[in-house]
Amino acid sequence: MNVAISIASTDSDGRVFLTWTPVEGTARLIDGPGAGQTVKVQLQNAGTVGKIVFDVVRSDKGTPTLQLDLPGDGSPIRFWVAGEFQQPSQNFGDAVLQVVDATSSATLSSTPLMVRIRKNANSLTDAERDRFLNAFGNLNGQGTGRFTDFRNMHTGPTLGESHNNWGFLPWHRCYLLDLERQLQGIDPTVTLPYWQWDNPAPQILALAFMGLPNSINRVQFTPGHPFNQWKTEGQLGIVRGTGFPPTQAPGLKSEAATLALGNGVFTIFGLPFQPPQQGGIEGLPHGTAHTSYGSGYIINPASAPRDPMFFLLHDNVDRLWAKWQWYYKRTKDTDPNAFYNGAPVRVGHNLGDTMWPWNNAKIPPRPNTAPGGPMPSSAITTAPGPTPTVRSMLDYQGVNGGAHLGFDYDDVPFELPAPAVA
Amino acid sequence: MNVDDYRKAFTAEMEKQRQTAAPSAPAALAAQDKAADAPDPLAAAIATFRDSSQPAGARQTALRNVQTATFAGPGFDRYRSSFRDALRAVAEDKNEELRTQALEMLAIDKDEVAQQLLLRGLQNPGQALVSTAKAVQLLAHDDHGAAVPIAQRILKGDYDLDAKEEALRALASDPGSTGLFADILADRSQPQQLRSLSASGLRAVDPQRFTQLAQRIIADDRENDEVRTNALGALDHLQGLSTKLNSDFADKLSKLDLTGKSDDLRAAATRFLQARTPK
Amino acid sequence: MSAAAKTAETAEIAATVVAIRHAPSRREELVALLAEQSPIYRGLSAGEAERLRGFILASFEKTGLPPSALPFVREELQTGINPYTVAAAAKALRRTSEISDDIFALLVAAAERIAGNDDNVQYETIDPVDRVTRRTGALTEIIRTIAASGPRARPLWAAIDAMAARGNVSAEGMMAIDLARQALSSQPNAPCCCTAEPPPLVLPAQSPAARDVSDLALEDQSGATFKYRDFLYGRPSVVTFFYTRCMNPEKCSLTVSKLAALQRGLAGTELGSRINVGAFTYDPTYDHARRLQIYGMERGFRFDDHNRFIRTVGSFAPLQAKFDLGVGFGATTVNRHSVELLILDAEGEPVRQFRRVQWDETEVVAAVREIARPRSAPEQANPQSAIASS
Repeated sequence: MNVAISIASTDSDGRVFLTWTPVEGTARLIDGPGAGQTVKVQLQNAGTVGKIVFDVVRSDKGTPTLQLDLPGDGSPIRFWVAGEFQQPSQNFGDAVLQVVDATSSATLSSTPLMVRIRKNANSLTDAERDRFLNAFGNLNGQGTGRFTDFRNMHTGPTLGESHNNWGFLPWHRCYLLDLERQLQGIDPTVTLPYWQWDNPAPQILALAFMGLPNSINRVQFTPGHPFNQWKTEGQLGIVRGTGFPPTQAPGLKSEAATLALGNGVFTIFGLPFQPPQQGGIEGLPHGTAHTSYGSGYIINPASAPRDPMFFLLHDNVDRLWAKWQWYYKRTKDTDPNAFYNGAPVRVGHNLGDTMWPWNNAKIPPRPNTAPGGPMPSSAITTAPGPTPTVRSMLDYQGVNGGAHLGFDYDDVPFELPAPAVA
Repeated sequence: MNVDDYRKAFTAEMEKQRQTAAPSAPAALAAQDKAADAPDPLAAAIATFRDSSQPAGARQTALRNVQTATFAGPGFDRYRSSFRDALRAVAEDKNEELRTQALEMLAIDKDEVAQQLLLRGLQNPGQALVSTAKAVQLLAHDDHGAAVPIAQRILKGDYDLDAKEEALRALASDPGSTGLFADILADRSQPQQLRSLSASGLRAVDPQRFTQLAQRIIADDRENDEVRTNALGALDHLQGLSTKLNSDFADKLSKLDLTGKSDDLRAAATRFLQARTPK
Repeated sequence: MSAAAKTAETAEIAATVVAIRHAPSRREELVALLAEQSPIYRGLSAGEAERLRGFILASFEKTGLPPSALPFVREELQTGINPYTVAAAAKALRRTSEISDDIFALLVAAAERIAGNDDNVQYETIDPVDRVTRRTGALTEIIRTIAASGPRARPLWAAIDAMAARGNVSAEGMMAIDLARQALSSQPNAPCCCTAEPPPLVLPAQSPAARDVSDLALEDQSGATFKYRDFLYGRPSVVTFFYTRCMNPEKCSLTVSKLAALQRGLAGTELGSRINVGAFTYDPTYDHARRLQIYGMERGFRFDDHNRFIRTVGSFAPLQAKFDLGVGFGATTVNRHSVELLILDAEGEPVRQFRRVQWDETEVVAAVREIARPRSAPEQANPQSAIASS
């Protein structure tokens, strides 16, 4: 007798990837004792690194074990499973959903899986870092890979789609999600890590990871590093300044200060950057994070994506927004404090608007080409669909009941809504 | 930690921030700039940056503020032409750091003024605003510019290693440099940095020739470890290009004795083989 | 030619241009210098070619704009992204007494484009490092041209007002808009003029012997090699020109995207099954097969035996000469090119052209439908009469 486990977030190769967001699963007996009888089983962790939690309902109170009475005739019983907050995997298979007979303790099934979470890039293991770099280098393809589309989505003429307006945060969330899904198409164990600039990041700003510039700002890497082949616009390599030593933080607005902006009101936190006013997060610390390097591709919005560090920077911006959303409970699109809900602004920045380039819109004021095509699908979720809207980027965890977007941050938990923080 | 405890802990952190921080209302970008009281602090910051009579520190702060403002995208458009002019003025500034930063911002933008100044400096060293290596690097940001013939000249001449490295990078997409890349890659008397860059260049312009040469180098125990590692790294990510790896190359690689060789070489070989092991 | 010699040559050309500014009867000589393939641009970087071109275009403000120069001005307003050259094109129109409605629309679109990439420009000297001559904003120059048309510009003024209201225009540009608004408000309305005639579609006859490329060796995006006649003989073709490292998204990237859209429109139709659709790269040594394939795929183009992206295996020069293509070359690659689409007959000869315009897919389809229609016996006997009568 054994138990067949089926979990919603399973890819076409049968691999299960979890985030902090609970997903449905079923358990049923194979070769059970037959109708009219039940077998008590226990679902539990058997992994060495990643940990999971269970519940019989969709909740944020999952427990490390769950006992179920499985019908002897093989009828499925539903349960919910999620990654245990702050216990992510480092590789596929280091989290295991084990089912044991509650009476005999015999193992009835083992399902390897991965609690796949976006992490602080400074804390990655060497293996995690190298898998990420390998996938990213592959995506760049020495200038001939799909990465060119990501570069072309963020050029001077296209900045109106993604900056200086309310859609800054949702657009970049969508952009990063697209990139991450492309990376996962190369290696499904990879997620996009973030550069947390509050603290020194000597593991990131190192030859083995994002490189270190020489005296003329040419970023150097270890021999064999995938970014030795990094090419954009026909040019080999990356230029980036040393605005601050790797052993120090760049001295930007702190996480707490950033999240305190507006005290939970999006129209202050996400206020578009309109110089000389600094706006919300778009101005500080996002803008100052870019310019903290002093020189190179990353200090100019039109050239910034040519440096892969750009994506770690923006992942942190997105993490800050995610944390703000969690802390102030601002995930409902009908909540006027969760997003701008006023008179319509430029197309692409209103809640109901689809976003360029995924919508293939090419009539002015949109740019006249739309690189990259529709949003790629995910093996583990149906959201956001091929033409995401601004709205679809808000509730990325599905706390209000919809489908989640398939990512989570290591320090932003899944928490079901209660009355919003005043 | 359960989510309730986590929230409690984070709320305590936020409360601490609330008690110690200044009001969170948006402030003028150049608040620390003494021009903050000006009618347009950003225009004042551009003026400060441009003004060579100002202290270097004040000019750097002003520059940083303006650079940050560029991330407003269309919100910066009305300052763009005056900032460009300021960068061009500072491109010949006596302060080396500011001058180099200005030239770099302009060059990445393919600015013609910056290009002309750099070219004049290469033609007449007395007018050089940056090192030869930096000038080549900056000119190479425009692949429709003059970098390629200059890079070819530098590789033939008596220039430092940095300059030659930048020259090779400038040629990285030049199909006319196929022979040059192959010659340098095959030449053990060349510095490993130049050979490694040549591997990347050859891979781009002639993947077939690169594959043949790279396989030979990787399999040769007398070869420099770094060159072997970089060649292997360059070979590893060829995708969809019309090349054929010798069918026994992976087998040959797996049988190489890499004892005593660099960690990077051994790691690159392991990665290469793992990627080609059937799952 | 050395860099110093090139600079000296460009200075000489600029001096000639300045001389012509004071001798308006010679203005047609300037038009001849606007063709991208003119020897004056050979070996120049893209920036240098743009500067020289803009310097020439701006001269028409002094000499008046001959009709032969209008296609160049229109193309620059429609597809240009360099503020120096676009502003020069706007200045070229200042002494034109009747600007057509489509040119007005292009001026406004150019203003929108340049507002995001403004720069200060001057056209008295050609030296980019000239720090003495007073400069004006490129956007300001465009606004001034629009305003110089007086009340005829009024219907388009809402777009300029909207641009100003967004707050993204420089102080100098805002002053130009305010001045123009004040001037416009005090003038009575004026009637619109007719839309200008589109450029001619029928090509002049060429001597086939002088332009025989039937044996020209080509390679497509799959790496297959063949001769010109193998692909382009036997059925009519729609061909356009591009290169993958084109810096102007209003040109090659848009052209290829539109070609893909045209292809989609023809897919499954009877006409689509009787023609070729192709794109030639201007940059054959750089644009190898894989690059061609990726570029097309990324823009939605579908490849098969009758739908290809192509490079010449050897020199591009014979093809450029055959089609008199508007492309110039610097030290390593294209320095400037026009937007051009040709329709070839079943002998691979150009019979229709769309040059210096962002061509419309429906117009191209209509033109190729006419070329591809089955011919009557008399028309088969006399192909030229078939073309002349269509």
